[in-house]
Amino acid sequence: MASGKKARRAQALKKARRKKIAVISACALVIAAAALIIINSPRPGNDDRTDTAASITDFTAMSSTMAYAAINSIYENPAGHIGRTIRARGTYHPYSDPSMGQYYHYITLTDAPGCCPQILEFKLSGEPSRQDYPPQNALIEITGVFSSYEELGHTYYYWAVEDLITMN
Amino acid sequence: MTAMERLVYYFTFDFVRYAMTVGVLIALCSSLLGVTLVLKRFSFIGHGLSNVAFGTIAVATAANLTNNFFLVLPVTVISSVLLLRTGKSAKINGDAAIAMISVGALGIGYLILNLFPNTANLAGDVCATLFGSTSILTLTLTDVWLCAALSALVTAVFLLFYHKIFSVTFDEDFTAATGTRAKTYNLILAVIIAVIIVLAINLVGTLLISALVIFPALSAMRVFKSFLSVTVCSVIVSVVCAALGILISIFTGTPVGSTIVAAQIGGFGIFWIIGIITRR
Amino acid sequence: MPQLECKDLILGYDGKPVISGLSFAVSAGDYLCIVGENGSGKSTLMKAVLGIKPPMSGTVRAGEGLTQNEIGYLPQQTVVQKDFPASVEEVVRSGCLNRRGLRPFYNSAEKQMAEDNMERLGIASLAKHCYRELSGGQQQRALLARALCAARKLLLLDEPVSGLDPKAAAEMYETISQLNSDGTTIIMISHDIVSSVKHASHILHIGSRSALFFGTKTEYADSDIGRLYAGSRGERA
Repeated sequence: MASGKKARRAQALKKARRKKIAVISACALVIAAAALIIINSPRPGNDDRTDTAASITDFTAMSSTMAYAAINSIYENPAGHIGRTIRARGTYHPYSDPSMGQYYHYITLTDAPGCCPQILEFKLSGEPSRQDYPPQNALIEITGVFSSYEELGHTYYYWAVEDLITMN
Repeated sequence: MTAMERLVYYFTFDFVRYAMTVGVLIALCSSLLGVTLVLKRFSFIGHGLSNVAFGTIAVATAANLTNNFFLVLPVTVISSVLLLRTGKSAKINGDAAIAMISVGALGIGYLILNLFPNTANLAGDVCATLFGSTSILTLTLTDVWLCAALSALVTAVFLLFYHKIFSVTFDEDFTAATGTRAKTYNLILAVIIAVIIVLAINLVGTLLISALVIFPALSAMRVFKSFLSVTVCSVIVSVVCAALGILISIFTGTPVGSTIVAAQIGGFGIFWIIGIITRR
Repeated sequence: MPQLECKDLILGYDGKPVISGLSFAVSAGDYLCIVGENGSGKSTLMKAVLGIKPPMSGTVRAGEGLTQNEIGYLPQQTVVQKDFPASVEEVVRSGCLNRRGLRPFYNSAEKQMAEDNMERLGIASLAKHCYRELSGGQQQRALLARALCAARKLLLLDEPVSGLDPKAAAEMYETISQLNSDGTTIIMISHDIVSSVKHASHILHIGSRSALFFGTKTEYADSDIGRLYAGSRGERA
């Protein structure tokens, strides 16, 4: 009777030890995985150059959630994204500033919940006239390169659009 | 592009990697404490605290603070300690008081935002804060490190005090009577819960935080029978549903917070069915 | 030097006193049964002794080097316990917490003690079962095993045989008496005056406003109130 108990006790101890080892290794694996993911996150200002300036980030092929987040990350660190090409779809509206004597052009993308629209400034490249731009509220698709210009001492960012398609 | 190729392509974006990391960490921490919270009948206090956090965010936005984290965290911790101080579930009077604080913070918060609008798109920002549509996808690397540090802290505290947390949850009177300082551990729990709520606002928004805390625990309790197995299962369910929710939301364009909650409800349904089948 | 001493206690809830002028002392190795009608404040007294709910006035003093973490306690069941996911083993082991201090995990000695206590109460085979699936009697025994893990000098029991069938109740009384013979001081609240008189060394009988009796059980059997309550059951007076 007593030896049976002792044997059971020894077995239970072994089992408990094995369980402990399993738990500790599982934790270690999880921590290692997390560390890898974080290490792989690139440093700010130097992100995902896997799509080089030659390839296009196509927002029309992405979900609106993804597009919203991607645009947000571009405008969070604009200097690091100069030269990036995107394709996007939205509604066009111009804005005229009498004090500056010129028009500004914007495309509004919409996000999934409809609560957080994003408004991007763009310019047709070359020497466009007012007629080259679409009518107000037209649904357009642009392909443009992220660029910047100076005005009154401030740096503004815009998309230099080569290709503008007016839908419908 | 196949789904797999698209997934790989999405992961080349840094904000996607950040979102997954932070999402998984927050899901992990909130599910750990969720078991205790549910069993102590404190689920509604978690909801009340997240509304207080919303009110604080409103005040911080009106005051034009650049990073509201450093106001929201202390206020939420203090409120949590005050509300959970007694340790035992509040009696009827306490229940009404918590409802008052909860709804009051929400209402006054929204009022303040309207009176002192500091953002271009008020409705959008309120929506994002309440439902977490996009905050998880617009994190900076600093945010990720901060979240990782806090999650590590929460997990370490939970592991170190695991048995005491169990005892205080199962039978607080016994724990106090036999000489373990139940009040101290209740205090620690209150602080951790506040930290988790503040972190989780980023993931699912203030209104949906309760889901993150209670659904995994309830799912696990359908099937598992010991505290340890319920805790472990709850963590796994929470992490899987959060990851799934984020991925589905990125692919289909649905708002992140609600998608995660939907995934958790799905998980709960599955476990409920499993529970019924295994009980036969 | 008594192990526990209570002087001039006034106990009550919501500001209304239920008992006043309560004084008694317990020495090491005593077996004290607290008896009385429902609502006379027995549980309130126990909570006051344990420091869970302080008395309205009066003092509770521990002597002879008795510290809080040498006390075991078997409370009445609380609502949350009934659907709690916990294995019997987890519940019983939690009685060892008061020895741990800040150390996070149980060592093998404590796990062994928990198992020994479970075997002593005949529930070792239920160790991995879920607490909520046990019968009332089994749950009571699990909680007693937990109390035993916690108790090193003093054990307080609040209605330990409530909900138990007569056989299980008799076994419970046996176990408690055995513990007392092994040197543990016992303070027990009981509805069953007859069994209390049979097993205890001292009786504290609480009435509607004040203590009706405190003393050894032989004194109790001889007193008016003892004869009224114990004698009226037709047992040997």
